[in-house]
Amino acid sequence: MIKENTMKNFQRNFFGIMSVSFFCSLTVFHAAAQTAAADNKVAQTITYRPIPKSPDLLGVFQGRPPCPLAEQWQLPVDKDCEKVKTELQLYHDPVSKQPTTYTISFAGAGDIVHQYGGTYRWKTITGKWSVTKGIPSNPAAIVYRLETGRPGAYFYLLKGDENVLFILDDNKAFRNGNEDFSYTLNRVELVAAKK
Amino acid sequence: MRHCFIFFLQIPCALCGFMDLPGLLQFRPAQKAFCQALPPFAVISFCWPIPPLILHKIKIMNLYRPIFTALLLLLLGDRSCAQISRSQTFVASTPCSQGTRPLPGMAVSDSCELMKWKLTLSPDRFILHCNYGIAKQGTKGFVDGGKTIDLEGHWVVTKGMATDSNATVYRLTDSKSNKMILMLKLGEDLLQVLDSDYHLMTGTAAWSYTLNRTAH
Repeated sequence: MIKENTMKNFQRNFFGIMSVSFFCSLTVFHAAAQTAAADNKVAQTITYRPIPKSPDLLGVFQGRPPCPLAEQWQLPVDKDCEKVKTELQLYHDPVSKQPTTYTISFAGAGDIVHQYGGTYRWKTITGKWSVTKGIPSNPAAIVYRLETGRPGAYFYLLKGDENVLFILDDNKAFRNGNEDFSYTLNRVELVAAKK
Repeated sequence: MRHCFIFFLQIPCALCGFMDLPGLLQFRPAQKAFCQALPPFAVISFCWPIPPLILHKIKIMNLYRPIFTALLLLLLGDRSCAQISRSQTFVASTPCSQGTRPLPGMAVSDSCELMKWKLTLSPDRFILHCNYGIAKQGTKGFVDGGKTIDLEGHWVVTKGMATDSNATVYRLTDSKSNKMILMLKLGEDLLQVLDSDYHLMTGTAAWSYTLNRTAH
């Protein structure tokens, strides 16, 4: 009788252990393969210009959207333009956290600058910005609205999260990029170039 | 005692079965990831003895088991539907995260700063072709041509990411490695690569983790 009970207990325990092992192995084997959260970091970017360090600075975002971006700011581009190197600096009140001003710079669009015997296009624009809610496909989306300086004309950015902004068109719809460039700005950490 | 032990082990499995019933249970992204990592047959096999454990005093065990299994199959089947009617192709040039890589099969030791993606989604399958390597200055290509990786498998639509429980997330499962790749559906034409915790991947000054739909 005792032997029979022992045998039954062994069978039960064996089944339990095998089941748990099977379950664990399946879970591990089917794990996510993409970048681990710990490796999803803000990138550093080298700059030769002074690095803003004001407590008002909310963040610096950079990206290389395709050239139709320049149309939203009514800036001229060259015929062979493929992308516009864009840097956005957002400022806010460090106490109230309310948006205040922005500075956006474009390399590859805007005025022609002569330097070192060559030319390039460059434009820097400053203005005020605010936070609004809602795009056609998502009423809860957080949207940054930049005043362009032209009456009634705004530049919209959807806040993906603290580090990623998506450029929207004038109707607050997403803009489709191409195989080389996207309408996305990423938070960066500016690092001074070694002289 | 043994019943209690197994019963508590099986609670998460049972909860996972109810994950997609709207409004019934609220799951955090990490919990969703855990549930989504369970192949359906594992959930079923582990949930199988729950009704007898609960109702062991009632002699309807044999009647209850098939009903419970059918319900679980129904729930699990419901979350395995792709939501496009014809093929779509997305392309992108993205950075290449250091440490863990964005795709299975990419060695950490491989030199990689740029990835060029071509993702084709059909109603129930995906094909992903990727070139990666060191960007060749002044060109859109790679030093020494770079390396290539080709993945294919099935994909499903799931709900919820770290910052938005209503977000639509595409979960691609590579058939060779059985590992997942997660992408947020931003709109009809855009996908954003996610990290393992369902956060948006942060790009660099030069490249973003945004895939753009193309006609080709």
